[in-house]
Amino acid sequence: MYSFKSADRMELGIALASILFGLFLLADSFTIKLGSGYDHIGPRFFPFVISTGLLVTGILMLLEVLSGTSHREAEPVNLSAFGILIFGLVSCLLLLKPAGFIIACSIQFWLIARAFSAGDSLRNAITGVVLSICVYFIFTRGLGLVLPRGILAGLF
Amino acid sequence: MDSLHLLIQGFDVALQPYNLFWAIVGVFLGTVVGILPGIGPALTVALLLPVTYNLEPVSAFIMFAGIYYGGMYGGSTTSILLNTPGESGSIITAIEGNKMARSGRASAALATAALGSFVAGSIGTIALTFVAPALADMALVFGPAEYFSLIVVGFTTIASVLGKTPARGMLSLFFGLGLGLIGIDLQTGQARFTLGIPQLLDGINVVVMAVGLFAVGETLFLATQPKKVEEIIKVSGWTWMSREDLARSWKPWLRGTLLGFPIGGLPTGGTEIPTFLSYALEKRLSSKPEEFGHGAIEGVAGPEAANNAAAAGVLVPLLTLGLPTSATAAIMLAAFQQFNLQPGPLIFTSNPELIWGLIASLYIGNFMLLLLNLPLAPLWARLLKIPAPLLYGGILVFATLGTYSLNDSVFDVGLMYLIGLIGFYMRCTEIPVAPAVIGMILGPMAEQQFRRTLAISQGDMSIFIERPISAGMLGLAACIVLAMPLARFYQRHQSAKSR
Repeated sequence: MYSFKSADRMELGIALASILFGLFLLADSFTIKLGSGYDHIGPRFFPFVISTGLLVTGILMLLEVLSGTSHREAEPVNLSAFGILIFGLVSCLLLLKPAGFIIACSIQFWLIARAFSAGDSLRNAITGVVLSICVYFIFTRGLGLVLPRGILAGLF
Repeated sequence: MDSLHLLIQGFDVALQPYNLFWAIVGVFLGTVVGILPGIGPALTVALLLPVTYNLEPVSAFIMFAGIYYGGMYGGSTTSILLNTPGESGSIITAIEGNKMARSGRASAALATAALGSFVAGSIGTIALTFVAPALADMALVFGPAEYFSLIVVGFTTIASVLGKTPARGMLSLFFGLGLGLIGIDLQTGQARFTLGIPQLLDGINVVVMAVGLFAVGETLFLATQPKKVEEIIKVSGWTWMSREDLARSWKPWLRGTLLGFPIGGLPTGGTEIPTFLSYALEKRLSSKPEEFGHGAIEGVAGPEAANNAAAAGVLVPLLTLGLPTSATAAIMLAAFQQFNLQPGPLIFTSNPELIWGLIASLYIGNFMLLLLNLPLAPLWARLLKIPAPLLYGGILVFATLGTYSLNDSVFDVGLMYLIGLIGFYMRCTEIPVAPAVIGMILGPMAEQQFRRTLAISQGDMSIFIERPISAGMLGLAACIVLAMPLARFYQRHQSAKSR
């Protein structure tokens, strides 16, 4: 039996996720109402085919991982950078409506830059704010898009 | 003759100052995103979709075409000077190109890449001009059965060619197909797999998918990997090449073009494969094979021509059949759909000024790109000095902007981040993301054509093998499925022997 390396755990996760996604689609397919007898292939047929495909490829991937044929040498993922990035994405998502595009994106910009390197905090902060403001005005005033104004709505 | 006449009318459209302006914007943006690692033409076109909603379709497509061709030119500069490919089509260029640059021949490498791109892009565009209308005429007889079988061929090649193990490409394809099911079923009008979320009724927008996978997934991946510091090689002055370099380059340019254009037209996921083939071919044919691996100019000239010719080739099935064979082409298809246009044989007669304006703009764009890139490559290379934190922070701001403005929806932004997280996971496990994007856009098309076919045949499945063209294509798909494991086995056997 092939001895398991930590890099392969991610592959194992992908294989299982694919099987789970396939099972979900398969189970949910049965809740789709069949159309009238008028169409010969109903709305369930493709979901059945695709969920089967997901199950089969998931199992294939599982076999590749367990037999060691898909083993790769991987660098460990930098978890603190990952955490900062996720924090950046979630904070932008939560702030986008209430605080507005400029504030949300400035904060996101700074956090993403922080995840790449710890230095130059002030430079990154200034760049983020300037970029967000420029983008906001170019795309709303110049190109007619609507972006959330948030708490800065009174200012402009 | 007829094509020439229509092409001249196309030039009338493309040379209008307004459209010329968008062509310049396109080639400029294309060169920039080609040079910057981490963003490519697929992501750029996806991000610009909401912005171009108010443009005339022909102007928008002229700009997209410029971005598409420009990305191919710009990618080589990064490969040569930084040893990090700017685009997937220029991975191979980095091998010899960077070695050349390190030994002080950066200028020659950049020149052969730019001139080769121009030669191949021009020949490819000429071939497109004559092949596309002919193929469109042939495709007029295609019914839903033929379209379905054609899409099946696309699925099999995309899934089996991309990815380092067979399960990986298939997994990505089925992931995209699965996400493509979400939304209202057009035939029965009922919601499928929407989990009761109203925002999912229209399905997941392909822009959300592409931006998530390409922008967020890539950023997460690069930030969490150990930093590799690559030295940027400095070049000064003008880019040019010696007579000897030219003598060694022109044959690889032509051979690369011959490989690139037809393979680009096949559903193999775009421009990478012909570059690999061209590299192998040049290595075998070279009179100085010992130089390969130490900066052989043929190893830059051939693959660079191949990827540009392939870029033209990719447009053939996209325009004549509505079949995207690469991620960028899938986004372009979404762009056509945004303007309520369906590429295919009929668009050549229903919208000639759009199609021929687009094709004419490829000639113009290619020429502009030569002027922009050949002498000015060292100037463009300064873009590489943008620090990574600022570059990726900026990419995420644009990703958020583009996704939000699709439907003014925070839900879409959240979904895009979530797909980005999945893309990061796929990137870590070396699962290619392009099949997922192509699967998501082609899946619903396949289902529609399949059900239409069976409505015509009263539910009789044998229609797919009774119609000769459809049967031939399904046979081809079956051959590919059977041949791929054999090819992989042979490859492993060979590499085991040489070890």
